[in-house]
This record gives sequence, structure tokens and C-alpha cells, in this order.
Amino acid sequence: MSDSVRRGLAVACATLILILAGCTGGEPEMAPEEARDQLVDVIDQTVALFDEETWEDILSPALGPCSLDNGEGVDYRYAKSGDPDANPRTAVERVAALWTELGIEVRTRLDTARPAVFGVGGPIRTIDFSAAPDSYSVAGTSLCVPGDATEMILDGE
Amino acid sequence: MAVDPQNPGAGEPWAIRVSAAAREQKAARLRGAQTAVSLAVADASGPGWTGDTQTAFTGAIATTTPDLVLLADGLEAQAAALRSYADQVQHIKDQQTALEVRRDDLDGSLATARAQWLQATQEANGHYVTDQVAARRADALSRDIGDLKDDIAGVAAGWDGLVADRARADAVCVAALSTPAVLGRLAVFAGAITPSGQKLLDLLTGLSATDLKALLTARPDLLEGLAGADAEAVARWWSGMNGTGGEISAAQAALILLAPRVIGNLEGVAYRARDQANRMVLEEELAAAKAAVSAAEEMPSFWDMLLGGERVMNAHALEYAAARERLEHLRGIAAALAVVSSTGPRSLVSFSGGPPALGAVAISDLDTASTVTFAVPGMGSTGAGMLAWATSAENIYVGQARLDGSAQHAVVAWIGYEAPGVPPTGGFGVLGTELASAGGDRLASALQGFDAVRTDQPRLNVLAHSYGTTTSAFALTQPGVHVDAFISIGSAGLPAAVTSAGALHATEVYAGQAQDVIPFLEAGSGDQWAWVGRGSTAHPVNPIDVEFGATRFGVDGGAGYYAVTDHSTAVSAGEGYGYLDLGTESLENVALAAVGAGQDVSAYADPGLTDLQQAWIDSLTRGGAPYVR
Repeated sequence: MSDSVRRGLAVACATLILILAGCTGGEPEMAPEEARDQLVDVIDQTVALFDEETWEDILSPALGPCSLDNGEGVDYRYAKSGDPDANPRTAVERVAALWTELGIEVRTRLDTARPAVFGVGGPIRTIDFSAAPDSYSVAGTSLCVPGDATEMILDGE
Repeated sequence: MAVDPQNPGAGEPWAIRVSAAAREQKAARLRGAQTAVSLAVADASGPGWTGDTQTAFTGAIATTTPDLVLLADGLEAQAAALRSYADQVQHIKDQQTALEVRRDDLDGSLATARAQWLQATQEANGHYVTDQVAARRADALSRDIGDLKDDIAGVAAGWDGLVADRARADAVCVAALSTPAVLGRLAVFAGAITPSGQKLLDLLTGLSATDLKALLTARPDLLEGLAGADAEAVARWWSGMNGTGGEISAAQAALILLAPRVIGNLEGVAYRARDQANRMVLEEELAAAKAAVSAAEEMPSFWDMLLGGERVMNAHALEYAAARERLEHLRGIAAALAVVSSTGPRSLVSFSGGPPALGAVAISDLDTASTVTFAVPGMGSTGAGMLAWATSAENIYVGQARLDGSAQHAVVAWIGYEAPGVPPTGGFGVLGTELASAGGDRLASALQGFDAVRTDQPRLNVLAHSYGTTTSAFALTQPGVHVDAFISIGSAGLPAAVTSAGALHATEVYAGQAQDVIPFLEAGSGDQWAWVGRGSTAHPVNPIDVEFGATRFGVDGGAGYYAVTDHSTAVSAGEGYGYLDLGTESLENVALAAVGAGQDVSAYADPGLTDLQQAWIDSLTRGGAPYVR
């Protein structure tokens, strides 16, 4: 093997090592707990816009399966409801403003009996807030992150 | 019980009497306990202690009295039968001893007589003269020998009589130990014929926990005769055993413990009891499946591989794959059951280990909910997917609770039938109706069972997706089946005979259908598989067609909601939305229909053809010339 070939191989190996190091040193994958906490945080902040004491869980953060391009994933769903306030339309606008501030893309529906706002992206996957005359409610789905829901539930992982 | 002909007096009467005495002592102790219980109830019933706890205590403790009396009566009857038997055996044994002595004497006398006769005969027949005296003695001895033989035959006849006496004594004892006095109410089950259906229910009615434990320990398969029993009759029988305040009684607990595979799936039994039974069976099946996987992980022996080659290796691989698949199915059901959330404990309201493992997981309490929805999935549904299907079912629950927080809702993730696999690897069963028909029978049975248990008539719905709509149509056309609402989403087609909503036994019929799109080419913009299913000649009816007559609702994202972009009920992250994902117009409308607010569902708007579909049709009909409206 000539020196030039040896040098070439050494450079190639060094490049490969750098590439691999770059891959492993990238952004760490989000843990399921983090995805859950982000969803809970958004919903808790939403509820804090109203009389929090009247709000109760419809569904406490519940683990479920989802799919990722590179394998199985897990996500959480969380829903709460509470007493309405005086102005549903204003309520929806306040929620929309909060979510926008949190990096969520929103669209609102104001001219109906049940004004609502729908959000996607940012710290959560989807979320919606409904301002029905007799009850307000919010429900959302967390980001889907790597994990095996069956194992997490059965084996406590 | 055969009698030993050589020893008709076998056995020790004193030992039988000891056994009888032991039973009498136990009976006496039970009588004493019964007195103590009665005194305890009397004490607790005084003015010094009142309230729910006192009522529960006296009620619970009082229920033990009938069992104590029953046990004591039975033991005393056994003791009486055994004492009588001991006397008879003793009598036979005494007679046997006398006969043995007599037979020994006669045998001895006969031997002596024969020796004397031989000698007298030899003396009487000398070589040269006849000895007349000896000859007469020989004749007399010959007669004696004849008499002795007759006597011995008499002894043998007496012996045979003893054998017969013992057989009779044995039979009398067995009969005495099988009388109602001994067996209590179980005497009717002592025969060889196994009753079934209503007759079996009649016989089981009123049996105590003790009776049931004894009965099912002796006849573990007895309750299998209840399969197919009328659900209303089962419900009356089961609720008749309820404990205080409707709690599970000792008798019901005994049935759950000793026949969980029957009770867990017996329509008419309260769901909380079925849950207890099914959880026990699921644990057993999981343990067996894990053991099967461990066993399948062992490689075939070297010699088997050497001699069998590829055939052995393939068989081993198939065995391992089957074991793994079965375990995954069971773990899917177990995981769906183990999810913890504020919707309350989930319950396993039906379960069979299969393969394939099938089951139904209820979100919230089926015994008390005011609206109940059975959610029926479509092709590709297995136990392994129960966690995902229960998640979708829970989304329906959330949708309902957001609309009507005052009512108690329950949703059943019902994978109670063998669904067809996904073509092509899963076969093409989805194009037929064989599995839908069989599944429809099972669903019909489940719905009738619900009606029998919930005589207070809560709102009952069936929500079905894809091939689940085909299956549900079979159920909802059976006599005696009726629901308040049938909700179809992404239908793979109803059977050809179901030409209109009126053919279904449902007060309200709803249908939601996303835009039909071409698989792969238009993926992510609508439902790519439902219309393929409706291409089957066996189930071609599309419930979204105007002429079908269902209340049609929108799913394509009206009023700000998310649009359904796939045939699935739940879509993977970042790829759109399924029919039952949170925030979709589809889920909102399903929930409205489920709570009985069907008048508020958003209207369906026929989306027509996509641009690509239109272009294809244009190219086929006009050779690619632009279509001008």
C-alpha cells in the first residue's frame, strides 16, 4: 500500500469518525415525560386564564401509542373542563393569544354557538379549546416521541 | 366399588366408626359455631351500634348461618350412614370368620376320611382274600366323604352369600352418602347427565357458596352448560345472588373463582364480575404464552437440525413466530386494561385467549353509565392493537364528556371478533362477509347481554369503523337486537341485503365518510381504503349515499375542526388525522350522535372527485381532452 493510499484511507476514516460523532452529538431525543409535561404545561396555562377552581380533569394525562417514521412512539392526551365565563368569544381570543405566544399555530371559530380555537405545532401536536355556553373545555395531544407504550404501561419503563 | 370375593369382610369396622365419630365431632363444633354466630348477630343488633357498618357486619355474618347448618346436617348424615355401614361390615366379618373355621374343620375331616377310606379299601382288597369288615368300613367312610363334601359346598354357598351381602352393604352406603341429606341440594347433580341452559340455571338457583364450591370442585365443567343460555334468565339468576348493596356475594365470588372462563363471557352477568373473572384468565394466558415463547426460544437439538435440515428450522421459526404473536396480542389487551387515567379503572368485559385472543375493554363503568357505546373496529384489528383501539375509544369518551359533563359515559373497545387481515399479506377475507357474519353473531350476543344486565335502559350505541360497519350490520339485523344509535365511519360497505337505514335495528343511523382518495397516489388527503372495501359484491352498500337514509355528518374539516386525512381512526404524528383523533370534525360528530344530540352534527358535503380522479376519468372517457364544464 503506497503512502498516498494510506493517507487517503486515514483521511476517509477521520471523516467517517467526525460524521459519526456529529450524528451522536446531535439534538437528544425528547423523553416521553418531557412530551407529557409540555402538554400539561400548555393546558394548565390555558386553564389559568379562567377560574381554575372550577376546572376538573375529563382525562388525566393518559399514555397511548403512536407511530414515528423510524419506529414506535408514545404520546399523551389530556382534557379538562370548567365553568364558562361571561364572554365565550373573548375567552377564545384570549386562549388563541396565549397559544400563539407559546409557538402554537392557531385558527379560531368565533361565529357559532360554541366558539373554539384549534392549535397545532410548537410544544404540542394538537390542541383545541371549546367555549360552549354551559361549559368550557380543552383537550390536547402531546408530541409523539420514541417509546413503546405497551412496555411502558406493563413494565413500568 | 368391587368386593374382594376372597375377603368379603375386608376393612376395619372400628376405623369406619372412628371416621363417623370424627364427622359427628365436626358437626357438633359447627353447631357450636352457629350458636356463636347467632349470638354475635344478636349482640351487634342491639342499640349500642348502628349505621352502615353495623348493617354490613350483621348482614355478612348472618349469611354464614345457612352454610354452617348445611355443613352440620351433611356431616351428621354422613356419620349415620358410616355407622350403619360399619355394623354391616362387622356382621359380615364375623360370619366370614365362622365360615373360615367351619371350612378348615371340614377340610381336615375330609382329608382324614379320605386317608382312612384309602387304607380300608386297600385292606378290603387283599391279594388272596376279601376282608369284609374292611370293606364295610370303606363304604361307611365313602358316605362320610360325600357328606363332608356337601357340608363344604354349603360353606362355599354361605361364603358367596357374604360376598353378595357386602356388595349390597357397599351399595347402600354409597347411596346413603349421596342422598339430599348428605349432599344437600347437590344431590340433583350426582347423576351422569349434565343439565344445560335454563334447567341448569334452575338447579343452580339458591345454592350457597359452600354448595357451589363443592359442586364446581367436583364438576369443573358443569357451568359450560350455560353457554348460550338466555341472557335475561342469566341476569335474573346472577342478580338474585347479589350481596348487600349489589356487591359481589360469596356465592358469586365462588363462581368467578371456580369457573372464570364461563362467568367472564356469560351474557347477563354483571360487568364488574366478568372483569374479575376475565382478569384471572388473562393472567393465566399471559403466563402460558410467556412460557411458550421461552420454550420456542430453545433451538432444536443438533441431531434434529442435522437430520431434519431446513424443514426442522422452518418449523421452529414458525413455532417461535406464533408464540411471539400470541404473547403480543395478550400483552396488547393487558396494556389497554392497565392504563391509568381519570376515566376510572378499565374493565375486561369479555375475553378469550384464542388464538386469536379476543376481548372487550370498557372505558368507565358499564354497570352504571347512562350512555354506552360499543366501538367496533375493522380489518387488521387484533389483541395487539387493543391499546390503540382503546385509546380511540377513550377519545370518544372525552368527546362525549366535553359535550355533556353531567352524564356518565362509557365506551367499550370491542375486539370481540376475528377481523380480517390487511391484504395482501393478511389475505382477502375483507372482501367477503364470513368473518363479519360470525362477528355479527358475537356482537349481537354482547348487545343482548347488555340489555339483560342494564334493565334501566341507558342509551346504547354502536360506533363502527371500516369492516366493523359490515360486522355491525349483521348484528343489527338480528331479531331481538336494538340500539339507540348506529354510527358508521369510513364504512367498508354494508351487506348487500341492508339496502337502507331502516333495515338496521337502530332508532338513529349516522354515517361519516372522508373524501375517497386513490391509495398511495393521494395518500394523506382522504380515506384511501373504505371505497376499496365497498367494491366487494358481498358488502357494497355505502351508508353515506343519500338513498340509504342515514343522517350524514361531515368529517372533512368544516367549522375549523381538523379534517380526516386517512382511513385510520388514529393517524401517526405529523401525517394528518384519523376518524377518532382529538380535534377532528369526525370525533365531534360521533360524540354528538353518541350523547343523543344528533340534531347538532355538522352536515355532510359531498366532496366529489379529486382533481387527479377527474383527470383520470377525463383521460379514459375523452382520450385526455380537457374537461369543460
